[in-house]
Amino acid sequence: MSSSPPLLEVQGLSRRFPGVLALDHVDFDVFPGEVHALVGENGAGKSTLINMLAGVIQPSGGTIKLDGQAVRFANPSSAQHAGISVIFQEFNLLPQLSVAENIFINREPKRGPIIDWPTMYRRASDVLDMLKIEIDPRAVVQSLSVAQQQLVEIARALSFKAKVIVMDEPTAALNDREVDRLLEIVRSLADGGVGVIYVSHRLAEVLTVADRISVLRDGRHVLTAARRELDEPKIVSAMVGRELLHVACPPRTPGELRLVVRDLSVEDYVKDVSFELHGGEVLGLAGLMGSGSTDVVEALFGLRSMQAAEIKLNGEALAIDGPRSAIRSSLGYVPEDRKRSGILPDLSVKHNISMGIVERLRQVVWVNEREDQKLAEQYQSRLNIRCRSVNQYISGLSGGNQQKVVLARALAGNSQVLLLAEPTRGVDVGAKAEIYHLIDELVAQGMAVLMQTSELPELIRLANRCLVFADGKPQGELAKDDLNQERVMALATRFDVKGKAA
Amino acid sequence: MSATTISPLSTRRSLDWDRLWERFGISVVLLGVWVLAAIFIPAFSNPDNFINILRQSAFVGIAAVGMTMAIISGSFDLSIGSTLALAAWTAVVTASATGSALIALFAAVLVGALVGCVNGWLVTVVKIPAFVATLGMLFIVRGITFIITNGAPSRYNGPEFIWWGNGSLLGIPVPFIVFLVCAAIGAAVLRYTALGRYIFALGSNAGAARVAGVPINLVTFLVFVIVGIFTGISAMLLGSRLYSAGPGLEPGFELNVIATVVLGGTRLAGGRGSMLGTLAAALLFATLGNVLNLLQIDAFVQRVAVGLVLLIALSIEGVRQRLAERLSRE
Amino acid sequence: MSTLRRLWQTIWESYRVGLFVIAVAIVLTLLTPRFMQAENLMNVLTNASVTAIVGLGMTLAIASGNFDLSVGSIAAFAGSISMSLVPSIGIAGGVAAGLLTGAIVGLINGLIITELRVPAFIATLGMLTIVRGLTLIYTSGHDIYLYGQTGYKILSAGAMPLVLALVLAALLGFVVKYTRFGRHVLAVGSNSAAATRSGVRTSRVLWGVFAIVGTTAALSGMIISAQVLTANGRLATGLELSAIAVAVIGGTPLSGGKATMIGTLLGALLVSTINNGLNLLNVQIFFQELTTGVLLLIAVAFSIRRGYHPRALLRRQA
Repeated sequence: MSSSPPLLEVQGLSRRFPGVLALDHVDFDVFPGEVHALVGENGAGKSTLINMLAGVIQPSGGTIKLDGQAVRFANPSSAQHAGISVIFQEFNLLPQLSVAENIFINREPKRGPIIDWPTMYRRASDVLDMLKIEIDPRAVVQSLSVAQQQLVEIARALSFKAKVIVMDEPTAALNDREVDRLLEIVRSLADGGVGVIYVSHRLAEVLTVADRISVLRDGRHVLTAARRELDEPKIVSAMVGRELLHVACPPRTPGELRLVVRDLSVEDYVKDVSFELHGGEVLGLAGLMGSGSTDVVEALFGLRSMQAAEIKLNGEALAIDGPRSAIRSSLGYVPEDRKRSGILPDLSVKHNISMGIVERLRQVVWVNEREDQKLAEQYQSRLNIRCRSVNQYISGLSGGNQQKVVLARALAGNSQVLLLAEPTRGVDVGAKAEIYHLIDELVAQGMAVLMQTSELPELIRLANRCLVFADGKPQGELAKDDLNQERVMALATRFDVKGKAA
Repeated sequence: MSATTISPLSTRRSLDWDRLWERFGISVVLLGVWVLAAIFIPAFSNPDNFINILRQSAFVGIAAVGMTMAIISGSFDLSIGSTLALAAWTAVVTASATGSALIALFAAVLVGALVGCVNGWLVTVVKIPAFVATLGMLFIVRGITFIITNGAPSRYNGPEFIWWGNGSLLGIPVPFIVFLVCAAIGAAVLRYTALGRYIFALGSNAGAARVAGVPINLVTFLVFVIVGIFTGISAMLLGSRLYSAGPGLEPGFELNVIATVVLGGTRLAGGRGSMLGTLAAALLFATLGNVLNLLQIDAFVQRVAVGLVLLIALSIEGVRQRLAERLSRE
Repeated sequence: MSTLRRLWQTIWESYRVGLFVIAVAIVLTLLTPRFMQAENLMNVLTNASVTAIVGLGMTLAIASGNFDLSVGSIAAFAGSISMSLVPSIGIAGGVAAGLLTGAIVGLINGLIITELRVPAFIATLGMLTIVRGLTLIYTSGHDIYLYGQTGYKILSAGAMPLVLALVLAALLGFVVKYTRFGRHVLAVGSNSAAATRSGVRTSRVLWGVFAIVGTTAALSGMIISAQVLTANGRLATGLELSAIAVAVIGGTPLSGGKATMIGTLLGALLVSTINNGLNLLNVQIFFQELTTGVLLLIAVAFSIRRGYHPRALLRRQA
């Protein structure tokens, strides 16, 4: 790259959260004029690293050096002033205000006490022109497309005379043409002397635009190499190569046909999904974030608007227009974000479990307390939920046990099909193993499980079949023998391992 | 979603002070105030005075029972002041027309329920936020009341009717008995029925409630109707007590009710609440008014006092939240 | 979208209310000859101006993502204080005192919201009662009548209210468009978290907003008192509804981030015209609050249909 020293240098950087080491002594650096890509699975530690560079959280250990000087960012403002601009996935924009204003918020050019609009528009145009972006600086941000809004964010970062620009999954919401445009801009940014950290899981893009590529896995730095030394298979291997949990997936004997889905499409994004699910088996839905795998599960539970040629449970057509009808149709659901849509934090374990079927426990007007208690205690022992009593508030339980409660709720209605989304997210290792064991048992007893997960070891441990998604469409189905991490990741990043681009 | 923080591990062993205070805190304060007042103000310990407090607490208290359920579910109703006036007037007029107190009660409840239906419709179907919808209704219902009554209150003092607001049963004021019954019913609904569970769930985490299968729109609608019903009961009793009712009845009523609910320990953001707390808070407010009266403090000062108490009670919650935020950033 | 189409949309958005005003005026002229009389029109404009003044302040509050329910009480309080001080410090002094009172109470509102983290509408609901109580205490429940100090009437005489409203609209419009403070008000209303993260001093912005609301409320209160040279604790109850209504009807979205002062002026004019019409048609005066309430709900319902999603009002300001 260059003989000049790195713009940004991170040494031995670590960050600990209660119960988990998110980043473990990571080394990383960026030179001026280079695009350094950072790659890794969900949970590999990329977000943690970005948040530390942005000044949102503090490191637990290690150092950050900017231009050779050690720095500490107490808050986002100081990171920004030091010259590091981070463009997060959720935009930091003010929708009702104009593009120019968003770029210059809190730094508005003034003439005396009055805002100098002509100068602001002009300066905004300059920045936009520099990036060859054709957006009217007067346009209201709300009226722009997502791609354009992203460009406004980039323009904003650039207007800070940033030395280092970090982009977190910049192409998540863009179409192919917009992606090409963005990559050109990234390249020209680097050519202008800025150091760009490009965080993405889209390996094809990474291999197009990056000068160097680093891989994080489980919070550790695994690999850094120049682009020409790498190809997709090598990167994929570095991303996933790890020991599988030594308990292998038990043999599953699929029973009768339980759920049939044909030509499912969800909200204009996911299309052409068809599959058959049998009792006694686990069908995995794999894919990276935004691939559409989660949408399928949510749609089947009535949380998204969807259309399908056919959805049949045990031969009967289902009409699902919301969670209530889904529950009545014997579908059970464990959502991916426990805190946001899973638990009812102010309620007891018992009430959390029975919330979906309270009406079945009714005797005239009153809820049958004894039945409720019995049901909860049954699940408490069956799922080994560790709590003092089922009347305890759920907020006092650990993440793993909370997840078990949510699982109990999904089962409580005598569900015939279990829909899982990221079933062990935010759950510690011990509870994870327990939950896997529970799923094994349920499946052995005949449950049909549709499981969406982005954790590959989990997928391989539990699923006997798997549908891999990318960009809203199923890319292929993998049977047990073919089910390994490389094959899944290859399909998920749309690059067939055998060497053909998808 | 309620602003709950996950209790630190240490409280898993010891008592959950948070919850205990929420449930019983105000009751403790109430007893404390009674003891202090009895010691320092001779007129206070007069049994007639005490009975007065019980009676006074009921009018705000009954409406507060309904409002408690609304706030627990994460909703809010600013229109109850106007509904109170309209329902009370209806009760008085019905009583004087039919001579029957029970029919009057029924009419008042019906009026309250109807207003509740409109509120519920505005919030669940038209999707106007509860605050704006009920604010608008506050003025609309008030306008309707003025129109129907032509600006003048109606009077009636038939003995059967006025017994409800002024009479006693075994020495206990009738309104207070009704209050106790209402509070008991409210508590029972919250604790033992599916609707009660749904109300807590909705206030605790609306998103999760939906995923869990709670019929969100239906519950929200019913809650507004419930608020209306309890307001109607309160209205009839108030009309009975005053022998009359008309527009301009009890200005500031909605604030008193909300202050009562919040002071009683129910979180404004929803998901947690205690009917016992509401009961105690209603008594506390009545006590406060009584003490200020005995100390011959201006009626106007009393109004200021209510507002201050509300703000103080809410500030405590706000400050706590701020501390929690600061701690979690470290 | 072509520039022409966008231009028409802006006109429709901002001035649609004006078209309604014209339509109502036409209907009323046809229904009763008394509408078009000079004295009546003056009446309409005066009433519109009083509501517009406090409505303009409220517009700023709504644009920042908040409400102020205490404006009626502030109006009464400021009016009372102002009038009571005139005998000792003269009319100019009295007016200044009134405005200052409004600003201070408004500032207190702002502090409660930002420092004690009490949600805006509950905080101002509490202050509504407190301030009205203070007014009653201050006036001992009586009226304050300014004997012979007809100079005070300058506030309400002739075209003064209208002039004040127009000047205020121009001033606030200027502030919103051309000062950093004004832009930050919109920023906070648009996305408070992002604004804070970008370095905007959200707390200070809100203090300023509520101080302004308080001041405009005070001005409205003083004009109302000047009309009858009397101030008391019962003044301006319900002013908050009118203020919010005219702002929303005028086109300022409840979700924040946008403010149209002209819209508020037109909204006030519309409400005043309709109320005047009802008066002339001998419809009971009580209908006025009702129509304002109904108009508010209709305006909000349409605003939601158009896609403005009001934020969760129980959330505290960042």
